[in-house]
Amino acid sequence: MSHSSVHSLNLKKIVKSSIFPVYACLIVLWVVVSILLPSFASTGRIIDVLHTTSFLGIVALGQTLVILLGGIDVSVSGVMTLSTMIAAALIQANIPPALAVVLTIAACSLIGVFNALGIIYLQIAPMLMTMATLSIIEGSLLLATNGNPPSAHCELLDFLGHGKIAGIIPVSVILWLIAVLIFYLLLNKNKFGLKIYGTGINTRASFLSGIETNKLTLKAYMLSAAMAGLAGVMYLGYIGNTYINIGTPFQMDSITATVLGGTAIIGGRGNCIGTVAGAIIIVVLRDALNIMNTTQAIREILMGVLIISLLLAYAREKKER
Amino acid sequence: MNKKLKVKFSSQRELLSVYIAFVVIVFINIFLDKNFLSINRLAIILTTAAPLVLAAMGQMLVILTGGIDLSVGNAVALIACVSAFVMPSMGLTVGIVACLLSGIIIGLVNGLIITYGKVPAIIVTLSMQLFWHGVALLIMPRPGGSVSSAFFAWVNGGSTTWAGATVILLGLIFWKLLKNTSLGTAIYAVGNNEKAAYASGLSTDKIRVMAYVLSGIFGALAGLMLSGITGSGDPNVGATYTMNSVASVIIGGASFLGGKGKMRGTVLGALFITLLLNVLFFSGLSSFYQYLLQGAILIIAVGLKSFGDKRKV
Repeated sequence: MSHSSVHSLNLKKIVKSSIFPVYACLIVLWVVVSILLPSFASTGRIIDVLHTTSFLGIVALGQTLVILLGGIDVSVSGVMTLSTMIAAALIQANIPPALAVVLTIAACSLIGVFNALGIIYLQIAPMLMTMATLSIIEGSLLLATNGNPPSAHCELLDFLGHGKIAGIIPVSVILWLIAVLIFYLLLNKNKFGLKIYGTGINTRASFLSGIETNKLTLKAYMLSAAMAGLAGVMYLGYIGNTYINIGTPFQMDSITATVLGGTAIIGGRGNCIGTVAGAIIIVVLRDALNIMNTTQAIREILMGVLIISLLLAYAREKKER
Repeated sequence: MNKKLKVKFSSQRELLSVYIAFVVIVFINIFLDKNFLSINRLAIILTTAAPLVLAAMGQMLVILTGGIDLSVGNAVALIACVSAFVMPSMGLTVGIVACLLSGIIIGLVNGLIITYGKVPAIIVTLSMQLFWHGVALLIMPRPGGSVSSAFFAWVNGGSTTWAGATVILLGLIFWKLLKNTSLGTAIYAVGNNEKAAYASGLSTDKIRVMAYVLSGIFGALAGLMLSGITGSGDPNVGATYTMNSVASVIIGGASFLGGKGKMRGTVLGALFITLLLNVLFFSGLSSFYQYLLQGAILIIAVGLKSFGDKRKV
């Protein structure tokens, strides 16, 4: 085989891969935004964008896992708010910060267990079950805090939210990349991933071929809630305080990032690497619209139009007749 | 005769939980509020419930086709803003026409993108809610505006409850539409088995778009009622209507997968949620309990239904 044909074959493979469109979109978007706003074309800006994206990126990884399985988790926003408040309350109560973080993430994964139990044993559609859970979390938080949520500062939270390795690379970005690596290995180099994809394509067939689909559902929702919990703790450090709707934007954004990243919303097809670019696209769009000094109305309209256009461009489902 | 009775009962079973829930909540209301059964109070409750009942009817149409509309809340808020924006300068008639037209446009846009763009309903409507909220903010950056005084009096007329009567009338029309027209049957057919519906000659794409357009019209009516009740428009009131309309439909016994569901279930579901809020108000409990209870009730209602289904199989 001649050198050139190997080259063209590789190119074909890259273009055909499921994550090509989203990365192509990201690059085009970045070029366009950099032309419109020259400040975007700098390393500092890129690191800033990655820093802002890291929290969404972590939530979206869990969301991707759940969507690949054929479910959806709309309670991530509630879990994230819950996480910031538990962490703040624990630190206020003088519990060592490291322990507080671990306890918070553990408590959040219990929400995932709750979601999974409803979906498995009561056979409630994932969308409805997680919606109900979200409602319960939001009500409980309002009752528990009476609208005045606790706030806390400590070195560990500061480090997670604002810390930088060697003064350049944010700690939150490192954590995000580690999470991406773990999810990539889990989904693409492990039996666990095969089972997830199989169950996402056909739950019944997977169950009949001996996969414990219930256990898989439990693990996926637990992981999704745990990731939202982790992101919540980091975000608390980043923002510096908590408020009642702190997690709300992450609900829509995590789902959109996943779908923009090439994961089919009906499950079974997709990739966590695509989700990374999907999350960056959302943050770049939002950042650029913010910088352009537009009103909230114009920002939301443009954001809606842009996301729908991206979805129409490449997230279309192939419908069979 | 026994067989006939059995058939009757099994067709009602999906509605059983909403019947029970509704009766229980009515009794709690009577217990807490001595004037509950007066014409005046019932009229007020029916008027308060009107926007949710109408939004839930629209949501039901979409869910029947196997879709979902997560933008309905912000669409309702947008229409209320259109109403409060147009009416002061151009009068009642133009206002109502503008609202209905906006509703049709909203439904058409959602429906066309979902059906012909072939992007799943969840993700389209999730993105469109942002868009509609933006448009509402564009029309009305902060809550305000006003509706024509005749309209305000008509909606909040106390014991002469025209608004309540209109909702009942609309409910009846909607019921007939679902039950006795070919469009109604087609909507059920598309939700039940789209391939079979297509194979038997229905243009499933058109029917789906029609369902979204009708849902948009119901959203418009809900928004009109909302603006009539408050006498103004507020771009930020939408979120509760999305969750509550889905909850009304599901508590009302419709299948989340489409193809199954009854109008009276949805109406009772929406009334149930309104009465639940009424209970919180009269018992002096924090309104924060609303979210907690709604979530719990959704889980219980759907959970009970799936247990019933399992036993049947």
